[in-house]
Amino acid sequence: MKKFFALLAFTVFMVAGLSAQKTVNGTIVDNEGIPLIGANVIIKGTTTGTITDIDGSFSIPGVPNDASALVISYTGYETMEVALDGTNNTFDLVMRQNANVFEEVVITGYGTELKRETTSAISSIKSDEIENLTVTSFDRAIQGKAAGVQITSGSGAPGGSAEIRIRGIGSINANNDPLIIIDGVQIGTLGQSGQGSSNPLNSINPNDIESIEILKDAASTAIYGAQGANGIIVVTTKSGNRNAKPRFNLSYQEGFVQPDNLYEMMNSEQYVDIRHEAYENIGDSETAVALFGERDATDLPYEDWIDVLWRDRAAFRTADLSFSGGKDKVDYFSSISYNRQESQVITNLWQRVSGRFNLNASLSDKLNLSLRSTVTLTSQDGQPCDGGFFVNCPFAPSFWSMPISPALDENGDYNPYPLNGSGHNFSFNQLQNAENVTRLGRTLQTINSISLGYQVTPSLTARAQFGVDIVNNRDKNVRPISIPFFRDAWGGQVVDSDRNATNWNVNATLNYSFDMLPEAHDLSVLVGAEARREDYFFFSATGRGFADASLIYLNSAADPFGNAGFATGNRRQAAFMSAKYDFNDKYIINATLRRDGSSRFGANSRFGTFYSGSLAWRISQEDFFNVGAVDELKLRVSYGTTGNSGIGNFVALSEFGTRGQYLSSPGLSFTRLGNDLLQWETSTQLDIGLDYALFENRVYGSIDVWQKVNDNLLLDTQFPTSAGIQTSDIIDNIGRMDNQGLDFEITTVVVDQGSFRFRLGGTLSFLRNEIKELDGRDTIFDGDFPQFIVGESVSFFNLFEFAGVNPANGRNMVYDANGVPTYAPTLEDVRVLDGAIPDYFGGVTASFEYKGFTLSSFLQFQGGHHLYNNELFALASNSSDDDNQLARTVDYWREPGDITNTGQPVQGGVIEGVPQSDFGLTGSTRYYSDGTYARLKEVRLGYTFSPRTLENVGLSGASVFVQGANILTWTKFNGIDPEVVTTRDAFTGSGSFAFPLGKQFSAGLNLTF
Amino acid sequence: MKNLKYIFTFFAFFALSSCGEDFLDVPNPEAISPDQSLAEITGYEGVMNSAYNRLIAFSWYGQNGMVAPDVLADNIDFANRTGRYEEEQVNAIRSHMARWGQPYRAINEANIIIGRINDLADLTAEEAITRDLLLGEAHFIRGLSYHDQARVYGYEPGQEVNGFNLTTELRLTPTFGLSDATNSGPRVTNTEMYAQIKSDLNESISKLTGTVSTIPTRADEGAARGILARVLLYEGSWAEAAAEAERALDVTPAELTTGDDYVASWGQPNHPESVFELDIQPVDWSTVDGANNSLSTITNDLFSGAQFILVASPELVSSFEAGDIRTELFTVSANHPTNPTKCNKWQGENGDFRENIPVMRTAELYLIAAEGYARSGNDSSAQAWLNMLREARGLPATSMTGNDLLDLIMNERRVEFAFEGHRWFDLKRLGMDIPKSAASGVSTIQYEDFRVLADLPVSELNLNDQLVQNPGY
Repeated sequence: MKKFFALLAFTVFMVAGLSAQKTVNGTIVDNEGIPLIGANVIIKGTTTGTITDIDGSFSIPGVPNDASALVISYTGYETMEVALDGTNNTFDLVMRQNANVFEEVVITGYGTELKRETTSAISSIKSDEIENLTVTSFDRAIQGKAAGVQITSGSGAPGGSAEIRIRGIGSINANNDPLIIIDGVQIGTLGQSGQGSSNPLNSINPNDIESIEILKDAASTAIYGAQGANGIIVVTTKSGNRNAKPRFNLSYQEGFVQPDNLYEMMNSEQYVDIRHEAYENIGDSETAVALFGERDATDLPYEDWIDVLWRDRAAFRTADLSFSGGKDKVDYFSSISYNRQESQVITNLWQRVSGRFNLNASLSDKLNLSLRSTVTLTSQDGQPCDGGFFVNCPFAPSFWSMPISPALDENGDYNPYPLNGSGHNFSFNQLQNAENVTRLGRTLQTINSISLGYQVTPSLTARAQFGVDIVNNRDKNVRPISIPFFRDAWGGQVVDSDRNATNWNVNATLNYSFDMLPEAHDLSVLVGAEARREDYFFFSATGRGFADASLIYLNSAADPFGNAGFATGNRRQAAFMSAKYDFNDKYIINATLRRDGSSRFGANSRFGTFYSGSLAWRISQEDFFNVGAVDELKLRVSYGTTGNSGIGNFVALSEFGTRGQYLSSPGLSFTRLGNDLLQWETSTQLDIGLDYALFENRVYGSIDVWQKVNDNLLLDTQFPTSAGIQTSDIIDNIGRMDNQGLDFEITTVVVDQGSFRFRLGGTLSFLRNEIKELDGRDTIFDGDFPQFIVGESVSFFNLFEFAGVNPANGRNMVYDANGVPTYAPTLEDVRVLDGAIPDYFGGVTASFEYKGFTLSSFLQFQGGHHLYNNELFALASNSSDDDNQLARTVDYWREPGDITNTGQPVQGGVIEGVPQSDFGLTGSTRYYSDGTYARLKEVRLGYTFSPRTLENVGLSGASVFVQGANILTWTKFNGIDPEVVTTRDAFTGSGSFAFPLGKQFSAGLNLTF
Repeated sequence: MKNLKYIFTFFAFFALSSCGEDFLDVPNPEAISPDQSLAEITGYEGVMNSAYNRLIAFSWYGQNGMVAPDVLADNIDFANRTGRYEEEQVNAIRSHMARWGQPYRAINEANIIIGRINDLADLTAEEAITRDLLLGEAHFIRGLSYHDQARVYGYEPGQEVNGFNLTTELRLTPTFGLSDATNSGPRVTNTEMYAQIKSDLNESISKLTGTVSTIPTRADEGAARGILARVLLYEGSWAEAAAEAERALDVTPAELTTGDDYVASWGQPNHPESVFELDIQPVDWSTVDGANNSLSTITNDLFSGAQFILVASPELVSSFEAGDIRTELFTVSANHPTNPTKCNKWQGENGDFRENIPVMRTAELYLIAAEGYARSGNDSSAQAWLNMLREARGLPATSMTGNDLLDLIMNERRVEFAFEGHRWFDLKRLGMDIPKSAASGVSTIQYEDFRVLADLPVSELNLNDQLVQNPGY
């Protein structure tokens, strides 16, 4: 009621002053509450106005009372009109960024261009999609957000690796990882910790990133030649604004991760029962009684090993402080951040401290300098080994340790494991192992670049850049004598290792614009040269024989047991050029050419030439095109070649090296048979794309259809082992593989009314992969099984088709080649089954904004592929050994007539010479399932305070949020996490005990002042 | 021209970016070319070391070669069932000794030495001696490797089933390039193969004549003669086998241990009975091999974390005569709930489950002499050799003759070489059926059963169409 009277009084006052002039003032901020400096504010219909100051404030005196509105404009933002109704003279306004993406700047190879001018397939992701997520590296943040880009977590460990595939798998044995360029530095992947899964992108704080550009087609990647075949990711970090006062931004977030969907294992009674059954079925109940007591015993000791080894809630926290600003000749951005994450597994802690300093300065009218520097220290402590059936890391043993053997005795000391002395799990008490073993990795990485731009003449620009990426890692692995196994075998062991990777790039470019041409013609030419050198050194020292578990330095080792060390490296050099011609903003033609050399190839074939040509037609610019609803329509066609040199550094050379020893003298042998005719794998890509914007830019996006053919595949080709060479294969250029796909990107503003806005967007990609040729052969074998088959995808499984358990005798059966169930199948009965490469993948983003509230969610999916879950090989093995079994397998076959999928338990797992798990040859579809999943990756509710309310507390912006990640998953996959599967490229594509992602919940705030 | 410095800077970068052609010549700091390596005799010494090191692979003498022949027959049962060797115990199809690739690696290294070492010019007198010794050792390794392959993949001469007489592919020239690697041939007959093996071992003897390795980790004359005696025994050349065994015993420094010394010999770093044994160093194993793959972990529970899979079958235990000193090596495992009888030959006495592995002991030469004489009709010499061994093992002398004597020799071999990789081959080379332990649940494998021969790897058949698979597979 008070307010009402205030308003009434105000109105009366205003009406009284009707004929007078007035002063209008206010502030203008962007949608994050950041003041906009230098925005134009004018009175509608006049030229009277002002620009906002450093706080985003404005004040216009002498505004006529009959002025109808203010018009506010600012580059990159939607021009807005505010009615002057005479009652209100103070305005806090929020400007919206210009939705016209075609006017945005896109960063490309060695330059930038406007989106409307591009002739190639490039996806852009801006900072607002990356900031304040719960991810530790940006690769995970782009998952599902760019069509054609598939991100797979290699590990759910904090700081764990992820795999990026841009437009499918182009290569079989060569690398499929894209080239990643951070502020112009082509970064390396070496030198990371070996103590667990490590992501080389951990050195970049995601909150420092301004934009990520993903170059997908040949037109955009050919300028990187032999490094372009797998696509390129260009990351640009933030810069300050010129003429802006220092702005501090503090963001803080705290939350936790919860393990999700872990297996449910048998309890003690169920375990003892199935163990007895397994021994009784080989006629040895005596052993079962000796090991497990009586079959029907009750009140057994019980240990929930999952509970012991996994945290219920693993806390994480990030704090991030940045400051930025600038004067008229200089701008800067600097940040420091701290990130601390416990992992879902006990004792494991991941921490990162990173600092960044970016500076751009105009040294003279013509000379510009840019410095970008970041230093990051990552520490991973107690990092569990990731993936595989390792007995001394928590994953597998948390599921398979005996429930009847408690971790601790009544005094809280470690029990021997297992208590019955059967030797299970190499007698490792996994709790003791996790707590006593040290696995420590510390990695210091710095990425720096310095570049100089010089405007030689108005049309000629020269640019030179030097970048360096240095990684230094120190790992410590201690296996102390407090653990019986390490005491007996080695007297304890300490391994210290050191890795050092240096990667430097230098490049120089000249850019010339032909400005003497008539108005409608734009022609520019870029020429450049580049060199890159990568060196990597490793050494480690191992000591054994420690008097005490607390002695963890090598000096204390009685036995200076061994050492190891190696060095490797490679170099590249290249010259390149590109030309761009633009007619009337309507037809744009682009051509690139690059000559590349790599030290990895044979002396006779180390240089390669790569090219591309592309054109764009902005149909919407044509006079004849007059469709009101269409704002922009651009057709793009590109074609070109890139190369892949992602093989070992020295594989072209025939080499003798140290191999083994005898009587402590080194052995010497062929370490490799070389192929001096080895050359580049080339990738030829055709892309036809359409960029569109409709309904006043409320719907925009792109559609691309593409085909990528990789020729001269770098393939490990086998020769007979009777040749007597250690590795009986040789890398050769053999065969051809084809990837085809469709990429869709769309963003829509569904509702935009007043302060309510609903946006919906998404990406969708379809992918097909096929091997077209294998040096005239139909099939290449790996051992007994086909590894590659002409006409098949590069990924498939060689499995038997499971025919169930014979109700008569409880034996596992598979179908033979004729579809008849058999116990003892042969190689002829092995089926080639759908592999692990998804047929489709993408993501859907939805966001609602109302007043200061934002609710956004992101759903990511992939599907049409299958996975073989190797974990079940141990956990649903019909109790072939002492491993605990999935609780659901209590329905095992007991007597004739039982219908079940879990066959007769047999100790050893072999019935009449046939292993029940893999039939002596390969697994069956029993452990094979559809890998399709959809996952709610992100849900976030945020509130941004209006600047007016913050004024009193001295803040210029503030927002708070709560968010959840991976909170819902829909899948038919029979394992823990369909997203985290090790070795997806390999033809096996099986998963075994990889670190799952878990659900994350967090809350945080951002303050700007 | 104040721009000059900027232009200069730019071109400096440009020049840096396009440094000369040799910028791309990056040698591997850890390897050298074969020609470089083999320009000096030290290169061949390294190749020889690699060849010896091949023999310790787990697929060969390091594990499988020592226990699989006993599992496939009737000497070994299980303490713990982990899946390993279970298919071998029931002689499942394709569950044999997979020993195709590894011997070829040793063979190729021998071929490199045999094929190239004579190219070395200007050797000093000392280097020329080294060259001849290396040649002798290379022929030894090649002969031993081919015999170890031949006895897995083919029948011995005269013991063919349905006339099938192929052994393995014979490669006598080194692989230096891809064309050599793909230049593969067919399987040769057993008589051709045995001729080649004998020729290699005789060549080895001629180069090693007079050499004596007091620590027998490298081949000396005694080792070469010993393996030749074994090959002659497999071939059925009885008298020659006995004679060669005697010659080997004349030149080898190894002794026959007696009584408690015999029992203790298995805990010594070098077995005093070794005519030829393999040295294993810590670096030969990854950190988990000791616990995962060593003979000690597989057959014993001395150490925490041992797998302790394979134990003596009751049939083996009952084959020992009363008073046999060797029974002291076979003890009941009190730690294990079923109290099985474990074999204490593999004690891992060198740390981390590690120890040297005897490929041939003097006892084998005594038994070759005994068997060679017995099968060539000289029972009295046979008894003499057999009784020397029996005496050393605390057993009374025998006066058996004829088939009884032959059976006794077979049993002596069974108990003497248990867990040393002889049982299967001793039965097979004589064309005998393979008995099985009761616990295996499998009945006797007839000698004519195709599973007596191992299957060739399908991958190898895919790469070499001149190879034929063994019958039945």
